[in-house]
Amino acid sequence: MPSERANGVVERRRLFRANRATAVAEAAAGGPVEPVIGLGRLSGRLFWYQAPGKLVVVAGPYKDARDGDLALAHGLRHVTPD
Amino acid sequence: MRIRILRGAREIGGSCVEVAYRGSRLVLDVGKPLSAGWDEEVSLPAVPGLSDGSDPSLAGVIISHPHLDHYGLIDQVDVRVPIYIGQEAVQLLAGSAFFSAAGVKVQPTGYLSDAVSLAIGAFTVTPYLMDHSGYDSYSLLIEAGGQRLFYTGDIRGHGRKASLFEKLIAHPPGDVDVLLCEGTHIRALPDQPTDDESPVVHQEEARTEWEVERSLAVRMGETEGAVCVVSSAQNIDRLVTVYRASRRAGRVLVTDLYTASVADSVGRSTIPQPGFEDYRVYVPNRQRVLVKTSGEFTRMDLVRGVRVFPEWLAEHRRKITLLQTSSAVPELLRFGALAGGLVVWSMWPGYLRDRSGVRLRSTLESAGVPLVFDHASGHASVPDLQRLVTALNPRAVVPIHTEGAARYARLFSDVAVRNDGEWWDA
Repeated sequence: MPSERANGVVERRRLFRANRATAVAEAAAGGPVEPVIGLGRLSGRLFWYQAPGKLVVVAGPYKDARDGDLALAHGLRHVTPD
Repeated sequence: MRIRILRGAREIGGSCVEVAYRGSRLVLDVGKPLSAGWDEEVSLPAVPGLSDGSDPSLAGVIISHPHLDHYGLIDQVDVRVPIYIGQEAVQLLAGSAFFSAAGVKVQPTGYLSDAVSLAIGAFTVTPYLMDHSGYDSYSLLIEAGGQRLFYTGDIRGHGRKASLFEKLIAHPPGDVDVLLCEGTHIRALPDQPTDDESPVVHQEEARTEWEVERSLAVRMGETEGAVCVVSSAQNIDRLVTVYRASRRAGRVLVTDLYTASVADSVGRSTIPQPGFEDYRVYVPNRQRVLVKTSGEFTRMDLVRGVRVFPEWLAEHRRKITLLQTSSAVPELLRFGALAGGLVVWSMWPGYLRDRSGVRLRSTLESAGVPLVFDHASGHASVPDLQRLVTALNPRAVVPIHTEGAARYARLFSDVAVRNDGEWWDA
């Protein structure tokens, strides 16, 4: 596994996504997930994934519970048809 | 004093400048480039101590105004680095954060206030509250060692706070060595018209907020159904403009929850918000989903007593002005609120080429509802920039926030074009 002492927040987030976030999302969804990218005005600071009938948000340890709840709400807003 | 533009010497957005004097450094703005996607991560420019707080010579970061292309990378700045920004700008960002996944929390060390100088490291920083479409925007005078840098930030002279621009022209700081001057409207290509050399002036650049107010009022008077203005919820000047136009036309303004929350968050009783006469709030589907799924139901307390629903909008469509996001338009069409109506695009026209803009145009075309453009730019026209440069009379004009750096020399005297990353002496 690459070093967690990577320079810069962006690099740390990239490593977190590559090494941990996807696995956490798959564990939560109980199967494979697809990243939600480019769907709308979602931030790159958290990680959204979808599986049939499911939306999963993975937040790093620097985020609090409210950030996660709100991120889930933002994700739902973008994957819910008008 | 030494200066380097880290990003923005030849692009609009992503602005970041570093200033150094005798072992002390300041960073002006940490913007996200406009070319980056919403969920695209961009690294901070390489400034010692900025991302890890490891270098105490970094005295602070100053954010000129709350637009993403000036503050968008602030969440990557180490918490030990002092941050300075306008207080109402912080309140606006806090009020917006719920509605935008791209929002960030800013926890400043100190606040910028008009004409109140701050001592930060080896520098004296004097903010100048300025006219711009971004709320609580400042130009900055940076002084150290007898030298003076004036950073315009983003400015204009034709908005609702144009008097601030005129005040700066009338009473400019003297003895400015370097003017870092934004040039959003200075075109990169010679065949693109600019105010100075073409009688055909781009509509957006030439229009003032008052002209938009007047023309919106006329459109409202001539339109049988609802007039729906699509604008940014954070553009407080435009909210005031649309509210005033709506009242002139004898209509009731109906904003969304986002706009109402932002207006409430800045805490100014003069800004149209729930409780104002002829002001109602319709909460579109996406914002209802957001409130429901986040569980933050107290968000709706703000609109108690002024909230209206689809049936009311359809029934009163001849007497209302809607100020909503483009994503609300399909549902407004579905329940008949836009029958016989008009949609006014009141933002930068380039957004109409985005995916959501293309979708909006197609939806309206299918529904037979006309779409018109009525907007005033957030940035100064070339003649206003020339007035500013003449008033400040700096020893050097350095382009920033522009794609037309190479053309500055045709417009101003004593131009020094710099490259991203290049240090120079003031």
